Amino acid sequence: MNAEVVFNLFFTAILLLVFLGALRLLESGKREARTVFFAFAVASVLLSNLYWLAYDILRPGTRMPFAANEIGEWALFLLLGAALHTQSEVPSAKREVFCAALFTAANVALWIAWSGEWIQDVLTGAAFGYFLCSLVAQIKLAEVFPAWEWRLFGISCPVLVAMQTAIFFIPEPVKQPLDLFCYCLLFTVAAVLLIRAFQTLRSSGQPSSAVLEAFAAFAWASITQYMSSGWFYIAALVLSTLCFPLMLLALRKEVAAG
Amino acid sequence: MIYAENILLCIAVPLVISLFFVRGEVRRYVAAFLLGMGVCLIAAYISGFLNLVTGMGENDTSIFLSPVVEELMKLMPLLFFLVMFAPEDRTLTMLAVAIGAGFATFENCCYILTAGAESLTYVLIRGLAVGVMHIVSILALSIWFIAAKRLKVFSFPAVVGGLALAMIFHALYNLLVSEPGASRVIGYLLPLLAAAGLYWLFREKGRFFLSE
Repeated sequence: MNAEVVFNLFFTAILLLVFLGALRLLESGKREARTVFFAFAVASVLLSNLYWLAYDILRPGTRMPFAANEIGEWALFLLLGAALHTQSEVPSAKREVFCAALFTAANVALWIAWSGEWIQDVLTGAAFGYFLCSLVAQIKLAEVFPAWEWRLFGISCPVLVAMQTAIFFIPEPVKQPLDLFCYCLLFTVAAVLLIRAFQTLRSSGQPSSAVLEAFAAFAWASITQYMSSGWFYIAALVLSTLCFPLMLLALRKEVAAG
Repeated sequence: MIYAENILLCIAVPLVISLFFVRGEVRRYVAAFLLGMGVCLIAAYISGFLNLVTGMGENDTSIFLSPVVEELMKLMPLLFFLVMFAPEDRTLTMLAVAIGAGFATFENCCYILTAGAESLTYVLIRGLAVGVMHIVSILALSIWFIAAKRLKVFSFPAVVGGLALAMIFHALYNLLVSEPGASRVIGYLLPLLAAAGLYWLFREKGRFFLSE
């Protein structure tokens, strides 16, 4: 059994616990749309993980002719996006949403360049883009991030895309430090968002802010995961999985606050 | 090779005739059952076409592509009925069950004609696993639609998200039963466990998030 399978078994166990926690939250009687969507989203990512595990055990070392587990990821992003979308009437965050869409498009182009799988990457990008745009609109409307943080994102995202693109063209000796810089940027932002969401969750502040921050940490962890390989990928998978209990706790706090 | 259209005609004719002599819910159920068999045939055509186009081979097509095609085809009549007629929740779940049952029945008929029906044990296992799987996946989808409507979040992403969930469930089942041994046993148990879970959610827990 390789390391990735062992890690995935562990993540599946965490996701199962989160799913049961989401069901308990629904059972408590307060049926918020977000909680229902979240429960279904966790179910889809759980099935996606199980699919991946089953494939890796049944057909080790072979490439999937069609990565059906990605369907679970599309469901995850669409359902989380729809969960966020319910709260807003008309998003008045056009600039931020446009930038998020642009960033997603750039990411999709990079995924295609890396994997060569046009259809699946475009479909994953569309689902992820919907989630990211809904999230960004909600964060803007709820004023969760101050102006300087928006600017920081406005700088880091294009820098990240530019660096990743440059890696395709620059000579071999320069590639490694640039790659390392990208990983540093990705993981630093992911860690900051995760810690920030955790702190907001512990404070007695707005429960909705904690939910949005936990969702933002998950969105960035997903970007990190898709941009990483080898052990970096597993580290990003750890961060991404950690976001699920965090999102559940934030939702529980929001439900408790009524 | 089997002549699937002929088999469909043979099974459908008595059911079509019965439609003239029944009314109300029974008529709707039989009609949706027929629809389920029809979409199964169309799904088989599409999967066959994709097999030729992609060159993946029959086995890989049935494991990887058929779940996508079949769930999409099962969704179509259900979504049409939901959007056009805005049925009551009970009617919607009944139609979903009928479409799933019709789909599974026709698929099983074709399978038995192709592979033979000598082993009663295997036929029973297949009937239970495939039959339950097709019903569970579309029933879960209809429950999801009802929940989304109740929470006033019935939207395109919600529909596609629910559909994708049904697809991944179906794909996992197909993958597990494709290999002999423990994985096949787990695969056969998966729809039964899901059916038990749905029953628990739907009946025992006061309809869970579906309650008013």
